[in-house]
Amino acid sequence: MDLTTITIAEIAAGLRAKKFSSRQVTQAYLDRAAAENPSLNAYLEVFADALAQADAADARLAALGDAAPALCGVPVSIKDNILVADRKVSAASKILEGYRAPYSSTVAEKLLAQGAVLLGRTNMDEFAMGASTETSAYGVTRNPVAPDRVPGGSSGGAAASVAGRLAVAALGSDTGGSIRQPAAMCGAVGFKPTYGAVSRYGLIAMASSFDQIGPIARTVADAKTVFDAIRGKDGRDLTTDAKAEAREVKTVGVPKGWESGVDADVAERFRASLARLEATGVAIREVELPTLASALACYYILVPAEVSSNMARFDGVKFGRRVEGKDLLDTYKKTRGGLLGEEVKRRILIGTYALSKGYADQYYRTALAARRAIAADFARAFETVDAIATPTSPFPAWKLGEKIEDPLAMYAADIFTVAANVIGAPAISVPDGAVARDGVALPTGFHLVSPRWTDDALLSFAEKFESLGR
Amino acid sequence: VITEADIQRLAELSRMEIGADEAARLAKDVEGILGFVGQVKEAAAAAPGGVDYGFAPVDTLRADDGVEPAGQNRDALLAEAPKARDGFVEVQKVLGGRGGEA
Repeated sequence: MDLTTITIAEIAAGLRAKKFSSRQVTQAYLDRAAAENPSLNAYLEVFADALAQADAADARLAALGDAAPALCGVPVSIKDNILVADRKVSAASKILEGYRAPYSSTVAEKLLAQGAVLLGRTNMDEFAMGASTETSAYGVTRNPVAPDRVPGGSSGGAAASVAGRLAVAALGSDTGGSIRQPAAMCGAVGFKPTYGAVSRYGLIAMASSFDQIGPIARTVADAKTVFDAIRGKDGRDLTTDAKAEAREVKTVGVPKGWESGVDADVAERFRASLARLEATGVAIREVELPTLASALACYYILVPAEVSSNMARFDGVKFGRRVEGKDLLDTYKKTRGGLLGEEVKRRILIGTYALSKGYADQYYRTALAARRAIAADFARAFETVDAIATPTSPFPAWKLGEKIEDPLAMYAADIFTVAANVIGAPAISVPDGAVARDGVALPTGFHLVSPRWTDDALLSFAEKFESLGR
Repeated sequence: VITEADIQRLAELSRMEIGADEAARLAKDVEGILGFVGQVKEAAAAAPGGVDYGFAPVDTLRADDGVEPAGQNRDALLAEAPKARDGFVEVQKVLGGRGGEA
């Protein structure tokens, strides 16, 4: 039995039935990582104590049996921007090279409390800024489905760890699609919870009013298991809450004009999936979202503005590395100029511009108004539909290097995913077949957004969608 | 139009040293991006008033308990600073030199 092809649910059942141990499952994943990671570069570090964690989980399973927590003994990966006490964390940046977390994030504490086995920390775009994992200071991650192509991003290592069978599930973070888009491009499930449903305490901040931690997994049920383990109100993140609104998804909206810029075969797959849903009795309705086209522009003002503020803390004084200059100001400039990558600098500059006197009205405050307009548009749409569907990305995974010189082309990969972060809503990408490029079948994703705090309804509907493809 | 001088000014404000080649590339990128994001005006025109986009931040006060005693994590935090001495983060002096510009 290949222990790296089964789901969390199957691992949990097998562990309880004593068909195999957590040590055996963990070893199977470590073997995969040893064989595949040198070429995939999904992990920046595989934790040397993974088997010891597995042994502790096995002891707990032996003592607790069926009462053991759902993730006890289950090997998962964690994105390199989520803190685990005493382990290295770098946000894939040179500026944090060698830095060790002095404390654990709430999500890591919750996983560890369940007895999950942390296999390693996964590669990402530097400080999560990117859509392809190519801005990592530690090399690109390759797409397990097509190694000459990107895995998407920024949680590209997380998605590749799941799709490449180097972990059964992964924790990622999503600021504008960074969980869902790589999940779609690697053929996995990616779920971004409602803003506030999962604590951000101990997540290296990118854009604080957009960031959210969530799971990448093989199935929707597995994503839900991980989400249930990490969700909840946290006194250390005052934006969190434990709300859950009952709502069943019966009517799905499709935004008017969604086809614009979408590859023809991706659009065809999406239409076919809508038809399959309709055949099961789900009502499909076109919705007007006139401001949707501006969501990406709104995002690329507000996010850099928040980035420029959040990144100010990396100055060579308190964390990571320092490049000494002739005086303190010069030290700041040399540290930041020398150790931050170009995409990070680009966003800091744009944010600084958008917030500067004379331009803040034209850019930052206008974008805040647009955010309200987009939220109002979605609220109106959600009066008539329970969820809104689009493809996750307008195109499948592209070739390594193809878009790295063109930031706007890269940003376009997130055209369908950013709106959920703009309005703080839950959203999910579920595998939706494949399209062929150069004779290779590349995964595509079916994307659903639903109103804030309807995460459970969204997940159960996504599970229904997933079952249609089986 | 965004010039290399504009980029250097923004780099100064954001405390980043940027080389001439990099500034030239960034000027082109930033100009393109600012042109693209300018279309946000159209959506903003339809905006309702106020600041509420559904989950706009509100001032929240937590209970004044569970506060860690001062200095409790000092050693762990200092261990991760690039330079530390005698219980403090070490930086270059800013008084008495030209560093006061910061």
